[in-house]
Amino acid sequence: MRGAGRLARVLTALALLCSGCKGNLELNELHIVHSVGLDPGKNGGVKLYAEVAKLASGQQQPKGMQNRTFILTSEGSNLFEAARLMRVKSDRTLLWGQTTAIVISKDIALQGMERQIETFRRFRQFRNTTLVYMVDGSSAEVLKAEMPNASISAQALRGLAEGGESTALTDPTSLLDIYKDWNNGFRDIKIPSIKVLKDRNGGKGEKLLKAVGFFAFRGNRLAGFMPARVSKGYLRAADRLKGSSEKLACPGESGTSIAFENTKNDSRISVSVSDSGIPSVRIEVDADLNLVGATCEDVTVTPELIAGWEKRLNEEIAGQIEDFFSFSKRHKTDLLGIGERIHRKRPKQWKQMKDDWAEIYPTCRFSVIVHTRIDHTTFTV
Amino acid sequence: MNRGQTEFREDLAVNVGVLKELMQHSDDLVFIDRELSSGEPIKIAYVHGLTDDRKLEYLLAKAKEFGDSDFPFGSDDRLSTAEQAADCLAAGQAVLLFSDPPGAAAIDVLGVQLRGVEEPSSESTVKGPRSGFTESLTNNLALVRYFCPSPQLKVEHRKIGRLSRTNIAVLSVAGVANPRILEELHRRLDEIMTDFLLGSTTIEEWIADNRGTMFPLLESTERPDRVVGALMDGRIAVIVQGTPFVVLLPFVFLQAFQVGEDYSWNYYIGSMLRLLRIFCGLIGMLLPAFYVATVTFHHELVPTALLQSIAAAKEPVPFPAVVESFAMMFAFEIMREAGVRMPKQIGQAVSIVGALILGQAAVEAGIVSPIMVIVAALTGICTFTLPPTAMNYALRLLQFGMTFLASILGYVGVVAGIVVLLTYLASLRSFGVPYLGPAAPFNALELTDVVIRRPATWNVKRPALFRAINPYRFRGGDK
Amino acid sequence: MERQVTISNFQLMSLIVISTIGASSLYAPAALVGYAERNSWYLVIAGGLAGILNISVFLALNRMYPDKNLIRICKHVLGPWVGGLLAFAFVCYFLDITSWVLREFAHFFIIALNPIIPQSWYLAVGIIMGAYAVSRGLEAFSRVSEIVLFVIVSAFLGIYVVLISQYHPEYLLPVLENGWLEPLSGIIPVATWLGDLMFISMMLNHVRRTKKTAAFAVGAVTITTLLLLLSVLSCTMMFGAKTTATFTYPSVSLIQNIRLFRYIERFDAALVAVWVMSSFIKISVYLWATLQGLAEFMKLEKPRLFLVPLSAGIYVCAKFKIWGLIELGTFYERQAWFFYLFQFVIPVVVLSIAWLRGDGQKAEVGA
Repeated sequence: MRGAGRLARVLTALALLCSGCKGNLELNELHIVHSVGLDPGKNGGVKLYAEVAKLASGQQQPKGMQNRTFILTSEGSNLFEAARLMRVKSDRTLLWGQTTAIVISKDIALQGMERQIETFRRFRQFRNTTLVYMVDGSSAEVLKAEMPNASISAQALRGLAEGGESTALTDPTSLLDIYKDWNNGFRDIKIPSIKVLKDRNGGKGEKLLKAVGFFAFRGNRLAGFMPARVSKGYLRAADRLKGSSEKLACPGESGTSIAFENTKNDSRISVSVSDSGIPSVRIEVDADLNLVGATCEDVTVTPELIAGWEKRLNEEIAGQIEDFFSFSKRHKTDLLGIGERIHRKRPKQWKQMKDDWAEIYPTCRFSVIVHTRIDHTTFTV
Repeated sequence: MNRGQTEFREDLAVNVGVLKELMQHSDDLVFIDRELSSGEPIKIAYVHGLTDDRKLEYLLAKAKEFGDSDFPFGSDDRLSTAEQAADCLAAGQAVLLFSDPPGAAAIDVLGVQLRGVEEPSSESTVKGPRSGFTESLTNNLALVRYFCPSPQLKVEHRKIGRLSRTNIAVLSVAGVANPRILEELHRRLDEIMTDFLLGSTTIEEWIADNRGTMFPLLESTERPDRVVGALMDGRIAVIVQGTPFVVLLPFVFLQAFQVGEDYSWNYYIGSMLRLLRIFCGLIGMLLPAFYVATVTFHHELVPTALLQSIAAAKEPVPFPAVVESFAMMFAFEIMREAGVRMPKQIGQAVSIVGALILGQAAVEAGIVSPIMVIVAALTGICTFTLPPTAMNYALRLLQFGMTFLASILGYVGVVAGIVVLLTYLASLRSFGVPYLGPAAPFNALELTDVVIRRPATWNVKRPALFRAINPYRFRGGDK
Repeated sequence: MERQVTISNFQLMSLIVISTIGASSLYAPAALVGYAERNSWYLVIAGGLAGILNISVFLALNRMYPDKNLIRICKHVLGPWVGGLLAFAFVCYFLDITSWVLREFAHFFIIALNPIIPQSWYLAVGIIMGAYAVSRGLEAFSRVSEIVLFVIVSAFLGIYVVLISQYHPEYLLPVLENGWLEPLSGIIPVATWLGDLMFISMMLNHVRRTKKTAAFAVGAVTITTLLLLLSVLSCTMMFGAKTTATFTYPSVSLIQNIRLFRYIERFDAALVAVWVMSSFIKISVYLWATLQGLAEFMKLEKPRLFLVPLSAGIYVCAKFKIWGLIELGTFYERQAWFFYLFQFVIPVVVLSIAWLRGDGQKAEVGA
């Protein structure tokens, strides 16, 4: 009898457990959201776009990330409400946890980024490593673009971000980076920009995406757009440049130039504050380059020629960085975190400068010293 | 046990009658008359068929030459009661009945047809010895002694079973095995109340510390080299007549992942294989549970591309993941059980049918997803890497439990299940030895020989796990 | 069968480490950084010293009365009435702590994993695990704690090491910007986390004492401090001080950043395993202490019978204690003195009275 009693209790417990299982969702009941677009909506709200992958039906083999996608739209007073309301238009629950990229429209930033950043953080499902892009226009266009071999634009966006390693014109920026910079106050925020290229042939064709440049912020507000040269200078100064291409115009002749490949870059920033409270920033850059193009005249490459190139490259690279400085001073964006560097070095002095930093920053004196080294110039084969 | 104590009379006919009575008037009991050289008549009794013909002929021929002074049997061989004589007869010995003085003596003429020494079918190796135990107790003892010709090997005979009177032998190495464990074993053997003993599993069930558990607390093996290895570690072996499986005790959890063959290879290979087996044990228990938990609760924790493929694969399937999972696991168990018992001729057909139906066709019909087939197959194969002990089956049963927990609470359920299982295992003991062996309570030195294989030249200390008395192995010198 | 329950030094060490670090290293960085910003490492070290002081009190008490646990010591030292009252207070304290731990356990999953599964399920799972472990006995779950120790230490170290390439050590500068004393404003809450080791007051009489027991105990506190230090340092170096303070569970955010071979991410499952295992040990340990205390206090003959009602009671307590995590955090910070009282102050009082009475030749501290 004791055995029967125990068995009865166990079975009852099992039955209870089986009856009320909450919180589980079968994959058949989900739509997986891959990328998210955010546009400003009516009355200060937001318009949310979600790109969902279609699933190939049973008889064929699963195609993984090669499936077509479709876009769902909804509006709400904030991101969370819009996400919830999207369920009204979707036959399945939306899985936000696999979102790989977020595209924000520039117009949202004009309303003030603080609210959006806070909302992103509190939207639990977005992971730290989600990439963020900003587009001048509607983010829906970006989500609708289909790159060859990547019909899910999240894949395309991720690949484009990694392209910055060789072009130094963009840099992967994740949700955590933005939140960190904004919350800690170490630097001003930057968000890489993305553009949709119009289809040359007209009509419906594959639209291509282009990731060049950054949008820089001053605190909460959008400061300006950094075009290619300024972006390169910024990345180099921030020691985030992994590879790029440089060119020198040939003297005299117009139109031809020598091409160099930048393989390595090291930058060091040192900051000092004068007694009157004017900070001066010194950036030292060491760059390694290789010759990859034809020389101007058909002469053998000699060390003197190389020295001449190095000198000119020094000026060219310094010019890029100085362009960045003037941009940042003009728009008062402290993208390199100069303020925080002063804080670390001179905490007491920083306490006095802290509140006026936005005004003090444009008065900073910047100096750049570049040492380039051309590594090899001969053919390898 | 109250048994009669019938003494022998002077009248041989009366003794014969008593013996026939005790042996239930069996038709295969044979009595032969002979005379000693002194003229004294004796009777020789034996069970026909149980005796070796040549030994019997020799005995019968020699019987004429026996005189009192030639009596080749010492007083120890003399039997005092008819019940003893009946026991000896049933065990295959020949009993000589004397009238003056009344008494009897037993001589071993056993010669029953048994299987020869073959390779054990359940534990095959590539590089080790290929002798396996047989059903004969004496043969098995002889094999063990052959592999370990040491005078310190102690053999104790016992009879178990009220009706069956099965012989068993308890082996231990004096000076290495813990006498307290030996004592405990004998005490438990004394407590066995059964009519018959058929096979070693009955003994295992009786002497185990905890009879209600599904985890094996003792081990059985068919190979003499494993028995000798175990004896040298301080363990005790029990050989049972009539079964080639020898019981080894004590037994801890991590030994279920050890195979004798590990010692045949060099220690890198042996260690890698052992680690592989432990890993496979874990996979075999947990993989379906992880799959169900991930796909049902924790979709964010899978890489996006993989999730997309799984989702596409599961799209046409009408069942939830947990039902799929149970169905595939049941199907695998059915196939496995069928495979054990089917005749060899249709073996080929069944495996083709199984593969076709359960694999390809089910996926194409949209009843299961291909991912689930992969998971179930991988799980099944992982359980086959483990040596075929009862642990294998225990792990398979646990699969189902873990999958159920996973379907209720996801990863939390799985980890809670693991933790409760560990607590349960930690509370088990096998003859006083904690079941989770060198892992908990932690002993780094022993753990290295259990989880990976230490080179033989590094084995200085005997494993204290089995509470050996002399903790140091012989390295030349006194220690 | 009636054999004295003993655990080894190593098991004691693992119990201490898991109960203090296992759970708190997930949320501790946020609170620590809230007090000390970039200098939270300094606060951790100070807390570690406070923890060592705390454990020495219990070691000293045990040295004086090797076969008595805390309840018996109270009654012995302070007499049947005052001591009995104090013993009862301790039993209630243990019960309270068990329900706090159970509630914390459930909260992690609700916040970090999946808010749809009802909280009562998690509470039920937690208390069932704990009750099962206690029913199997101290030795059983102490052995499991050895295994769990390896799992959580290797998991934590693995996480911190794998992220090395993503650290920014300059986030720790400037060091001690506002002086030595300012970061120590948070010393009491930190000491209470480390003081969660007070369950050993009920357990030390079961340890197979050797000369090294005290060393193992102090070593356990050192390991805890080190792990906490590593966790705080990696959070600060990864996220920066202010950001860490805004996370509820900074370690979850840490794990989200792990990226192996470019594409392998999403290791959150490891944290789930670590959290469940360490909470299991903590719940079991405190439930066991409560049951022991109750059995001791009321001189019960069959304490096992009380296990199920006690567990049910703790479940109810945990469910209705507070409404949400904010309350839990606030209570831990503002009313930290409540925990500190029972963990440190009262045992010190008991120790001093015992010393004044002249029990035990040496009332010194440490090994």
